[in-house]
Amino acid sequence: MSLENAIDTLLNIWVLAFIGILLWLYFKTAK
Amino acid sequence: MSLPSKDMKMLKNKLLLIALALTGLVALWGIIDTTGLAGFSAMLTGVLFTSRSWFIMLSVSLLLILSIYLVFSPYGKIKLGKDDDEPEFSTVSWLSMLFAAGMGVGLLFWGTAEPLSHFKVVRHYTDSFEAAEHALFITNFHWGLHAWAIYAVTGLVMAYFSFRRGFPNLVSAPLTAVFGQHLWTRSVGWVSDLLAIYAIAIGIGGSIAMGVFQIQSGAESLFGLSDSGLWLAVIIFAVLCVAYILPLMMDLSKGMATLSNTAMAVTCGLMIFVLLAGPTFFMMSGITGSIGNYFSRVIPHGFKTYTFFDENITTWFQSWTLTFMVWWFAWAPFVGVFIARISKGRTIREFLLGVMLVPTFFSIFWFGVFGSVGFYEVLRLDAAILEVVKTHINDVTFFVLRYLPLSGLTSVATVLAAFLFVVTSVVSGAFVLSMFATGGDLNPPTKTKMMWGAILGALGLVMILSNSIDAVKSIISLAALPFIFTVLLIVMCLLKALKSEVV
Repeated sequence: MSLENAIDTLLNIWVLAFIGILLWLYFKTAK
Repeated sequence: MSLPSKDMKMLKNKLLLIALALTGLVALWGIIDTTGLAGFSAMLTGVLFTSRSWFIMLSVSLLLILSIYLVFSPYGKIKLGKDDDEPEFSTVSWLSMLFAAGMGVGLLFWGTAEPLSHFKVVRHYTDSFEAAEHALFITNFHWGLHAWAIYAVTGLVMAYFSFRRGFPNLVSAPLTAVFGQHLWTRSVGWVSDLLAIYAIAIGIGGSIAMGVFQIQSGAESLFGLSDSGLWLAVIIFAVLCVAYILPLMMDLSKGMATLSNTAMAVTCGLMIFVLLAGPTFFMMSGITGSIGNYFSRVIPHGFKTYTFFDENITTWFQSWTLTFMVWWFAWAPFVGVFIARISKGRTIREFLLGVMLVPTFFSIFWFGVFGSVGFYEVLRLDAAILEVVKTHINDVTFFVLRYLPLSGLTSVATVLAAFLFVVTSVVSGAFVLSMFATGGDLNPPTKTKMMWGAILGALGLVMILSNSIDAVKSIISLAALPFIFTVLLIVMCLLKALKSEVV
């Protein structure tokens, strides 16, 4: 895997994790 | 917020110090090594844009769809304020103020330059007439509903939590309001405030630079100077600094409204003059075509990422569409707080419709007039304007005006409006920044305001020294990219809070 590819993967993992956190906060935490 | 006061003070000061240090460092770096900063931002923005383009477009489109949903949902009836609060400003001055805050000098700068820049790219892929239509559509797409949805949603969150729920006017407030006081809400909130301050400061610095470039081209065209170089830009910058010191020391409300209303009046006058003095039928036809074209294609186009196109197109997409969308995010905390402040007492439906539709129609009109007049010169008069777009993009507006009568007067009006818009942005920007940095104080001390005024000036100077609009664009993008996460986070807080409203 090239460096460029690795950076791209890492950046996108963060984005997907962030979306996951948002959904979890919205649906799974009490008001 | 119910933080103990000592704790709060610490937080305030630390936030202020770190924000100052961070923005100060960027300014210093830019002064010492302008090309280094510009090159670094361009490289990093390139990497981030390539891997995040889908996320940026998806977020912006979802914000637009969410706004449309809120307009039609029962939540639309909720008032931004207590149930018996009435709007503070008349609808006309409300609309004019929010528009002046959101677009400002950019319109003057890009009116003709942007449609023609797209035209230059698109005409290699289709014939000239369709290319012109498409160029106008893309321009309207950049300045229309998507841009205003970002502002509207951010403003809505701020207005809802401060006027309806009584929290301070801070980006971090929704988080503590919904999830309570925990270590994580306080830390994430703190980082969000910092990102907001940083994005605003860099965004306004960029706007100063753009305004100065515009005024410089105007002065060159008025006095017949050719390529005056940096010295004229620096003189204009110095005059600007002197002009914004006084309003910074005064009370915000009245002076600001006068400044931005004057700028808006001059801008509208200019648009009407060009419409009447230029080829009116051509422009009105352009506007009519734009309206249909825009509304029939706008939502699907928001999901377009040009992944399967050649490099020319992907580069164009990154340096225009993505940059603009990120740019609106950079301005969102500032415009959001401002439009929230003037919208107390309006319902969510009224707020969203006003904030999204009126500026969008105005933009379609504006680019219809200034874009069409540019196309007229290219398609009918064979003018050399495309060459000007390529070599002197700052000069395009004045080049167009020279084809119309009274060009001296209209050039002066453009310079005047640009000047007023920049002063307005710096003064209200310094105000909002001081408010954030002092924990939501509605009347921040003059000293803090002056300090932010100076920092904004320094950032503006850095971007002027870079002497390139592209460098300015990438520096802004880099500062604003992290703020996208903050916007999505506070929007989630709003949706969670709305669930508890009885409608």
